[in-house]
Amino acid sequence: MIISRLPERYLICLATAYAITTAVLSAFSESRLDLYVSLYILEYFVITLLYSPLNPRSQKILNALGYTLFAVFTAIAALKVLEILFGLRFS
Amino acid sequence: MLSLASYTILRSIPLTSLGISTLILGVVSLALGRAQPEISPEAVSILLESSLENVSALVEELGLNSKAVYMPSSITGGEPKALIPLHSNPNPPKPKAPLPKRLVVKYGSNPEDLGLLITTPGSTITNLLESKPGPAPADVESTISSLLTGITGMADSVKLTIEGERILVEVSKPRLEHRNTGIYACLGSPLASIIASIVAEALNEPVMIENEEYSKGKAVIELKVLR
Repeated sequence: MIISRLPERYLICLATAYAITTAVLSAFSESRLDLYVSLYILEYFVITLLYSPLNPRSQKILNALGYTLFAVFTAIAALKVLEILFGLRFS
Repeated sequence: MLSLASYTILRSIPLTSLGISTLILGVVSLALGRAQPEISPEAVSILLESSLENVSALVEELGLNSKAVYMPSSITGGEPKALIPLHSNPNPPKPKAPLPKRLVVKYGSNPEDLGLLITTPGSTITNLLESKPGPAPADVESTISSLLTGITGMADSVKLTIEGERILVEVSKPRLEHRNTGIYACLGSPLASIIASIVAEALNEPVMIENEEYSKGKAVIELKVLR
């Protein structure tokens, strides 16, 4: 019998990584939202790469999500650079 | 929505981030849900079994005991197929000219060079490929991996090694059963058949399944390229 276990394992791994990240950062009373989001994005890319190739129908949506998350990550990095260079505060 | 409320009203960063992570997981779940098959795996298994039973009956009735040779589409004209010689011959068939699109085909100049040209699970699965795979080992490996792990979910991972004319394919956690039946001895297991068809198509050469070994959570399939 054919059972697609890989996608389920991928989802469980991603959910576990997010749960651990949230628990650890909140345990250290971390209050920077951009740090949480950056770590989620990094984890998304690493875990998605580890579980590739996925079904092409899934991959299309995951690629779109990847582009969006990359744009968010770039925006966070750009704001950090502006903070360092010009001393601006965005949060 | 709750994430936004956590940020603006509660001013709780951990709750806000939890909402964002749930949003990402939601999109991922939606993406993975789209890949769920419309037909249940049990129904597919029944269809596969019935078609293999028919081929098995035909092979047994004709008393064929030769191993099948997997031909690329350039020889069969259309999709890769398996050629089972009607007469046992120490030299496996290596047709150079395209074969006619018939069940019983003549593949050589000798009168006994007759064989059955049949469609296998590997023949139809190659239709799922967007383009013909290249002959480089990495290309072949990624094509097999994409088909077996990504599209069909038949295995967890695939590793391919090419040593001259021998090709070793290690498949981890295969989800198709292997049985010691006559048709499996002739055509190979469905998994080996799929791999042999892809390799034949990629290398554009006839390929034969030399050996199959199944241990717990692993299958090692040995192929021979007939150059």
